[in-house]
Amino acid sequence: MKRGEDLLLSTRSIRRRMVESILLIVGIALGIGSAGAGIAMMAGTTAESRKLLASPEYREIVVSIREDTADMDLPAVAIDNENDLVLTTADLRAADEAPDVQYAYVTNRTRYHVGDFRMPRPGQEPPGDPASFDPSELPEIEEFEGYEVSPDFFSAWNMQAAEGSLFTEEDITGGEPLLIYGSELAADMSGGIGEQIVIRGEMYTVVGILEPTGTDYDKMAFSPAFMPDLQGNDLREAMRRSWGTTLRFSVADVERLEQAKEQLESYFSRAYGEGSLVISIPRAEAEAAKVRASRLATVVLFLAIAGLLIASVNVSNILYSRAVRRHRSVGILKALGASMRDVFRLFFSEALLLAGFGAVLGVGISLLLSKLMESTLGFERIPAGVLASGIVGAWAITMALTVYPALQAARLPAAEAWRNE
Amino acid sequence: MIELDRIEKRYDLGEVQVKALVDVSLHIERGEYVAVMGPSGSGKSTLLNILGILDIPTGGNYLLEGYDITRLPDREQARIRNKHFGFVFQSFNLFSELSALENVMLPMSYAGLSSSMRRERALDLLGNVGLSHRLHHLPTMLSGGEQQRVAIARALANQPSLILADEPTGNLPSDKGEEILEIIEDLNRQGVTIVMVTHNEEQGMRAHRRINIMDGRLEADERLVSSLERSGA
Repeated sequence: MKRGEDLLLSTRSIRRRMVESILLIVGIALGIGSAGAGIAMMAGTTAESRKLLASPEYREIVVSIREDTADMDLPAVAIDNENDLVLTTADLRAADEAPDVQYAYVTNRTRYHVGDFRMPRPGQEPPGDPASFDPSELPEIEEFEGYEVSPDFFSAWNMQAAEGSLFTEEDITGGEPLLIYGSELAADMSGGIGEQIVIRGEMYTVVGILEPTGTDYDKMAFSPAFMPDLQGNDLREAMRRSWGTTLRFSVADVERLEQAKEQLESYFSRAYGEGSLVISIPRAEAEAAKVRASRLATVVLFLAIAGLLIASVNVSNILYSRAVRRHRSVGILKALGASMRDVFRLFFSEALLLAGFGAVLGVGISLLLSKLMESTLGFERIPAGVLASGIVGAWAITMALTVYPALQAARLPAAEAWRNE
Repeated sequence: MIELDRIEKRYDLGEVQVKALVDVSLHIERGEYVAVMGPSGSGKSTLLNILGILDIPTGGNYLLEGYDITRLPDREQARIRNKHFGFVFQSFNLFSELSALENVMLPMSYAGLSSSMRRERALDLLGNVGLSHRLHHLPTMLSGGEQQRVAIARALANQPSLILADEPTGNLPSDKGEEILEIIEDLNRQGVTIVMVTHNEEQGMRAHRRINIMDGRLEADERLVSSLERSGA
């Protein structure tokens, strides 16, 4: 039989059994849609985990006197009052004895409260009499977040200055209150290099603006960490003013994290006694989280594929019962000269059409769900190729299961045409 | 043309075995008009199925033009049904989703005819049965007589040498039945072999030859005076 007749009979048959056909299409669409979304979730989770682990944060070894090393908001210097244990920024020198360590630094989360006074950058008009200063001329931002950091932080996080410069050792030891803006914050503050801003009663000078990083750092500011020992202050006195220190050491090769940790443990055991500090690798936890996420995504994918199979088996059953109900038509077709192959092709064409409509709808469902995942789970754009291969695979499974009813239809005996005559 | 030699058809229904045809031998010449008669369940339709290769005998030989066609592969049997046989059913068996024209064109698509040729021939055939004005009507929009005429046009689509008709007038009022019978007899006059199952004694008597089937066995095979001879033509 010509393809044209197959198509004609198939479309008319679908139209004639409209409600049943719509249910079949919806079943196929849901199966394909859920499988596509499951694959998208798997791909998104994998990509997200890979991206997460690529972060410099997971190249770090964290040394702290506190057990809660996951707390990122630790200030710069710590004292264990009970044991009189002191961890200072001078201990960053441990890196000198750890050949696998590339950078050593401190990062202390902080908030910068903007005062009512700003100075223009050099060359700009002076603000005039501070008494006649109009606060409404200030940006609406009253507070922003950021970090007190040591110079290696920028190298470890591969952050570059778009304007001005990054902190140097001299900046740190000079004790001058300096500030570096993230790219978005710089735009919001509408200031520039040289701008002066009062924070916590001190006049800070903006010395640099960072290149955009695509992270939250773009909305933050950075100032030199309080490093009393490097600044030559009385260490004990400085410690009295401080709360705790977390030191961070990052490696060039993540495969060497364990070795670097052992090298640091050797230094700190010697300096403070064995087991007195907590030395941890955040990557280990992240990898465990990645495994958990990956397993969860696998379960979701399994459920999606199970859904697809259940939908496909149901579609196959409905098509089979449809074929059996049309045994008379099969008999007539055979009486008119249709071979088993012709009958198979006719029924398969019909299944192909139904699966085609279902696939179109399924693609829509997949796209919708993957967009939802991108917006709610923070996934990056799921590659079209991955989504397409998932959808094609799901469609192929559906089609494979429609072969059976088409084969059964083809095998129906021709003599059925005469039944009930 | 057709040679049935000790044809047997058994159906195995679990422990029970039903013999639908027993030891049926039959020779049908080209151009014959054969009426197959017998009570319900006697095996008439089974015989017609076997003649049309819609069913395969469980015993015996079926020769068409000297060739045993029961052992041919499905594709070859389908080709023979398509090219050599035309089927007319009691309940018409038209495809309800296709128009009269599309129904008639359908068997020609299996014969590989081009779309334009199929259309041209279908128009001719429907014209011959007086349905030129009903080309695009669906079967449900046609009367019983019209549906059977479409079915006859469809049976003639590939110019078959044998028409197998199973009670073609069974579902029609007598006047419409008569019209159908006249079309069939006219085809026979043009040289087409007719094998027709009927319950109707009068219709049976109009054939050239009458075969009686009883309990799957060939009870009688008698040659009759044809209507042509009867009318003295």
